[in-house]
Amino acid sequence: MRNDSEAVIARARSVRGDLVAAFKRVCGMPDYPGYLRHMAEQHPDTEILSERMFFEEHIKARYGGGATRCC
Amino acid sequence: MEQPHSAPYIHGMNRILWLLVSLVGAAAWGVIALNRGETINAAWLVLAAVGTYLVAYRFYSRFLANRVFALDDRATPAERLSNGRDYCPTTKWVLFGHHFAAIAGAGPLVGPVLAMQFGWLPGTLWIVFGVVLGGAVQDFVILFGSMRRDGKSLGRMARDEIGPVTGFFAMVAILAIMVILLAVLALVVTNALKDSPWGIFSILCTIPIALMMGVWMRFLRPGKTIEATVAGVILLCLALVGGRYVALSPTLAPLFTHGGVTIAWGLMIYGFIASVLPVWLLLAPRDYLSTFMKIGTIVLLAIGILIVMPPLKMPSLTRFIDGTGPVFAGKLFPFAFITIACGAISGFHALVSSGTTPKMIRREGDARLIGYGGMLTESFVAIMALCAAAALDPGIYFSINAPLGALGGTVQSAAEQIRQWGFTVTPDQLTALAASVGEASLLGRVGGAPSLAVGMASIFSGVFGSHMMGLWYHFAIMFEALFILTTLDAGTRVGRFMLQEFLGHIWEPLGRTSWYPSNLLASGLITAAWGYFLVQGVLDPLGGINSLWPLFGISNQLLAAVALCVGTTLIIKAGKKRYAWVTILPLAWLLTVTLTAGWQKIFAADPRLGFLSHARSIAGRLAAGNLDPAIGARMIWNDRLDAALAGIFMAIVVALVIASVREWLAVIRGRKPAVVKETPFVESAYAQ
Repeated sequence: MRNDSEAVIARARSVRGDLVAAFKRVCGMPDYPGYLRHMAEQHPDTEILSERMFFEEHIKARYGGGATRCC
Repeated sequence: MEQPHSAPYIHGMNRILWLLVSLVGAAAWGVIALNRGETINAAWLVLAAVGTYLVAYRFYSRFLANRVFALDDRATPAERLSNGRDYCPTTKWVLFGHHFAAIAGAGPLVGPVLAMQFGWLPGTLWIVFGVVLGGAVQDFVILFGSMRRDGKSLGRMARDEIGPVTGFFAMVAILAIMVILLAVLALVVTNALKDSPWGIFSILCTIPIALMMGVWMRFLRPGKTIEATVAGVILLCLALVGGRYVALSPTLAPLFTHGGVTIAWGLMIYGFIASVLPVWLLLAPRDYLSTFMKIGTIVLLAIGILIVMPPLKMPSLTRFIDGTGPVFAGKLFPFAFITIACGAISGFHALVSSGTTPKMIRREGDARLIGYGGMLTESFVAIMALCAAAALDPGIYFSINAPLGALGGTVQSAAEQIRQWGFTVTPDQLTALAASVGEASLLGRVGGAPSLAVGMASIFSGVFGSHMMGLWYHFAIMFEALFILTTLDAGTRVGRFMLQEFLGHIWEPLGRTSWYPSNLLASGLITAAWGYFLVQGVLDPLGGINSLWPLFGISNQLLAAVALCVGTTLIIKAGKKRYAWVTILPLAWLLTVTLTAGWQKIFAADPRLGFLSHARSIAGRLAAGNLDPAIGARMIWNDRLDAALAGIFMAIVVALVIASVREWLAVIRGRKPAVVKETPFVESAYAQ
């Protein structure tokens, strides 16, 4: 029983995490947990940016040049 | 060459379903076609549009994806260059939402409202069929091209695939269009806010709210974008409610009541400062806030229209198709197709489709939903804006959208003028409407935003009750102003980068975006450029929208022509010349429309329409001594400037088309090899 409810809670957490990540992506916000996952999977040896540094890098990349918005 | 997907096998159930969708769409078009002269319900327009979008998406976009572009299992830039930041494989529905939020702005809301002066039918037809055969194809082909080239920009693709001179002219065209776009959007906000303490107060509040969010996300709780944005939206709603008290307060209201010129200068100062401040402080939080509001409001509007199902009080065609309309000059052809750009086909999307989106696509096949489907959704927004405006009483519509110069300053003179145009509205109705939305007057608030806000407020009031009309009106105004200000900020910044690139060729230090004096100079020049057109628009007795909106439409459509030229080149060079008609067809139509409109705007004999004849008629009035010489000289100068600008746009596009056609012929006749400059094929890991 206990294991079941723990599994449900874990599942709900992951769904919530997915929804939040999806929402952030739609609004063009940086997704830090997604970045951590990507680094862990693809570049485990590379240094990981702090959340604040990641946010700054993202902003720089997104608004650094070119059109991001339309009329 | 054999195609990877030959004759698709359609399952029986599926076939019945699509037959049903097609029948419902066709039936709705039938109702629209047969029911002219009587009042028709907005639901029919929505049904006809959605039916057409579904069928077009299912069949035409599939044809484009499989036959013309031959999307396959190669790894996308997001997969090959994945860095967890800008290159990042993203689920297709999420990216669809992101792309849609980036392409849909004020354009699809304003254009259909202005074009309503011809009645609702021309706009509906152009929005629905224009998008299916033109706009969505453009967005899709550019997204496809950029995706195959590691996310290159439109300008770079023009240079690589057509030639360096073409690339340069495309850049100049983009910069000039940006200036006109910013001026016209700023003018829309100015007209919505002038003499409106409620509006000005709530918009002013957005600035400290955004700054606070910026500090929150960077220093207090780094990276916590969602909680900061939710707090921002709550504060925004409080500012909206607070605006009502400001408007009612005899001491506070005068502090926030300003005329057009003051607001225009305020916008210029805002645009300049915002574009040189660090992005995290103002632009990024404002961007999150406006995206949040945009998606929410559009969903709310769709639900509202479905619940209320308003009858369209506008006639399907008005007498103004002959070109005598007060909102803007010019006949149905070509001006309906110029006035509505975003929503049917918008060149600006080519910049977004070759910007952030192509770097995030996970599988090639996703580009179909994102590129083609994203644009269909924007078109749907335009149809909703059109419904909201068409649901207004025609008399009310013209009282808001005709310039004050035509209406006279009082509700009596306005009602009389509107009666002469063949519509009925009483002075009391006009006074009551303004009072119900908490404004002193709505007469001559040109630019589309206020009348759309009245339309949206009526629909929301129909759902939630009429006592909140004023709140909904200002909500709609704030919603539009919020993302127009974001565009001003972002656009000035983009213009600054482009200008710095040019200036860097003249004197190297000016090209450095890290050198503050160069940033200040370039931002100042860009702001001065759009600010000049903005102030002239505010001073224009015909309201400015009259001359600036067509110029914006022409420039936006010409950018679309550039994008379609690039798209056609990609298709022909990929050895698919038998399918080149998918882009040549909309290109030919756009060239016909925009070159005709451009020619008429410059040379038409009617002074209401032609810039040069308007200048001559002013000169005549000056000679007769009927006009202040300083004002007259300024108007003549502006007319000539507008004419020159239209001429330059046309010349650039004609040059681009000639360069492209020569390139196509060279490839078709075998004088040049049909080679595209795509990144080589690597199979996707997602393919297994």
